[in-house]
Amino acid sequence: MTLKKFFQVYSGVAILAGAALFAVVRVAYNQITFEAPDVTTIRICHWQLESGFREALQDLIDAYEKEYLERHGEKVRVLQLPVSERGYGQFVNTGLVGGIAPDIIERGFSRVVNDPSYLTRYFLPFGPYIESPNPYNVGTPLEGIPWRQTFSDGLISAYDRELLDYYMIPFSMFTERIYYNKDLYREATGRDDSPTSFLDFINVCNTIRDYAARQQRSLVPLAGSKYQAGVFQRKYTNTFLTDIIRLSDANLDGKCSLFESYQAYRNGVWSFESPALLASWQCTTDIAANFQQGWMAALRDDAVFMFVQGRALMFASGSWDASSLLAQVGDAFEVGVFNFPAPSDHPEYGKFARAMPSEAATGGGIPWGLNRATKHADLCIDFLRFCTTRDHNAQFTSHINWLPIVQGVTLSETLKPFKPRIEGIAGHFDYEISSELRLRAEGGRWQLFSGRMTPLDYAASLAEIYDRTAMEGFRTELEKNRRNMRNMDRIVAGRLLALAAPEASDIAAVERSVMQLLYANQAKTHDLAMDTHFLQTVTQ
Amino acid sequence: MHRAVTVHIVVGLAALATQAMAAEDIAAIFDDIAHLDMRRASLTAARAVKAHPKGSPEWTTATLCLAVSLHHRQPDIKRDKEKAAALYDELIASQVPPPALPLAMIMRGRLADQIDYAGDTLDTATAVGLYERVMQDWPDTFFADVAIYHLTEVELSSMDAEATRVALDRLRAWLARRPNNPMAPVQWTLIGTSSFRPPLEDYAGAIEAFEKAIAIGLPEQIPLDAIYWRMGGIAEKSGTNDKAIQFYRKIITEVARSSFGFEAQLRIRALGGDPPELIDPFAETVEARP
Repeated sequence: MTLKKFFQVYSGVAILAGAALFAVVRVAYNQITFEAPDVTTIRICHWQLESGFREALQDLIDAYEKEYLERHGEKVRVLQLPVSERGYGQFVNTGLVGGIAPDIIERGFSRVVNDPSYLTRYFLPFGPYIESPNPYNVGTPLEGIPWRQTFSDGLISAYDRELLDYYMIPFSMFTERIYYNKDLYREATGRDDSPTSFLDFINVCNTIRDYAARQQRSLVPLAGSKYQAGVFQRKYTNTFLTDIIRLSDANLDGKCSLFESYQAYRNGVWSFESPALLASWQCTTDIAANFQQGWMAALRDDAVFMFVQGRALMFASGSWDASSLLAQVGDAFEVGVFNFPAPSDHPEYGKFARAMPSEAATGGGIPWGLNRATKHADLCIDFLRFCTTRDHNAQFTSHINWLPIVQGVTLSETLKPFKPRIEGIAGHFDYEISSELRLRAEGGRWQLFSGRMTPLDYAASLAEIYDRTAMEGFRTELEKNRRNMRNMDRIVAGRLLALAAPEASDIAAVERSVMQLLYANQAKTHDLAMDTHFLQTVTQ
Repeated sequence: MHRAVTVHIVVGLAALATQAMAAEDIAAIFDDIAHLDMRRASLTAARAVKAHPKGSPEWTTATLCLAVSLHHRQPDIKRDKEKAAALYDELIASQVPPPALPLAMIMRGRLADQIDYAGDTLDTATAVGLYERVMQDWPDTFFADVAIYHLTEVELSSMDAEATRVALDRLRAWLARRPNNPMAPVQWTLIGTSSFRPPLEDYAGAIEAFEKAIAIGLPEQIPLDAIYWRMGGIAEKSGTNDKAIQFYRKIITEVARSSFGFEAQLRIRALGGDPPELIDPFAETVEARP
């Protein structure tokens, strides 16, 4: 039999045998890696595929496994399972429902990990663990302090106000800033310090455009995409509307809800042609004028590439991008970071905008939840405690250039510009009351920011839809609120019923939790009554 | 003969198994309801109700659990709510002992004073009657403290000035009689929240109520800065600027990491005061709070 003949006859069988062998090896490898029967294994899943995160987490895992072996004389294994954002929700949902989800789960991308009715069913609360000190803090300045209070936010962002317990342990926190190419900046402007005010920022943009024209370089001041425009819009909208918020805020909670804004609109407190609203749109449009041509068609990653390739001087994004950005830039140029400047020095915008949004209440990020079905809850807690000592949180966050969440961790020079801004406004103005208005506002926004529509035209298009659909939108949103309130009552009922349980529970704790839940509902209940009354009055 | 004995044995074993299973399941039902798994709770509770003689303590508990789980089972459909109402009514008519009876009355009141499904209507008269009975029959209990809270909410929803005044006066009188009841903080904040807005616009009464709630002690997790911000706004509306400044100062000095801190400074300056410096909770030298 010739070789050719042999291949013709047996190649199929050979491929089949090879594939079978590969599968056997793969299964055996996975069995040894994931199901090692002699080693206690916990699994931790996340969607953080940014450069450096997996390595930083693996460093913590390696250190923990070593420390655990030294302390207890037993081996443990912590396996991290990185999953892409695209499939993360499905991975977690099916895992939780099927009882095979990892022990520690980064919460996100799924209703199951956020909706209270699922959260309580699938996740363990951290309440029983966080009031005792973290044993890994012995010998440090945080020794003896309850674990909760060692976090710089006191874990308040981990507290679920509907379930009255703590449902996550964070590893970091995030802010948004403007990154810039320091070398190019120096070359084009002849200065080292970052823009110090809004007008200075606009001047820098103009200087860069002139510089690019003189040098005949393909260079723009800001790398743009819809994502980036959204970042600037978030920063430069509510800051203009503090007076309108104050005048419309009937329940004095510092915010202006859809219902309050509609009632204020009818009372003539604001209109779509209010100078403050027009100025807020014009401000973002002014900034977006410094994006590259055709930015509306660009994706977020296109903007990243423009910046990394030195074709844009600046790039706006969150601190979560710092590590990836620095890794991609490498030694090509030095990256600087500065905060969004308040437009208080602008002759027109300064009439309305006094400060940027406050970041004082910035909550924890990378929210780890504990799977209720885990067989190793204590080990998972032990691992999370190990990771959130001052030293380990510093090690983890410095590895990926993220802000630490544990108190007293010194910020590196790279991280200092990301420190949350405490001098800022707190209010929020919401007017997108109907689906049609939301669609129009979203669609028209890009035309507005790209200069294809003036703020007055944008205002006119929104006003027409608002006048036509706001009442129906008000009714629909009111019904949504009523359903939310009804859902809260399920939780109250569950707590109240505990008073009838045959095995006596902590009666005082149950009573206190009922009181807290009713408090959480109180302002909303009263708003619902007020808004319902308003609707009845105006429709009579 | 042999066949009849076998049938008797099988039936007997099945009955024993049902009894044993039902006894164990009561704890599981409470656990499911606490974790909002109303569907599973309702199925187990229905089995438990059948497994116990009517009127027994186990039957009472299982029936209450079945009613609550149907009341809150989703999707919210008319049939479930009507069945829940019938079960509550049966418990109330049977005059089961507390805590099942006052709980059944409160839950039945909630079923009546809320819209539970498409096409449902409010039945505030039934709710008011039940809440008043709980207050009357168990006046010194937590159940009555909860009942008067819901009763006040129902009456406030009318938005009628006189009804609102009467409801709040009755709640104040209740608080005078039971100043340290477990619901007192939230009862005072209810007075505060509903006093400063229409129809009453009683600013002084609202501030006094919030001050009492804070003095009694709100749970640590309730953000005080939002309450102080509201109190500052109410004080400004009433023209008592010195009080407003006091409340705004408290945001800065008492609440770490408040997003209202900077705006509190602005308000203090606008009112002619001298605001304290903001404390930076992110400063590198921050030490752990004791």
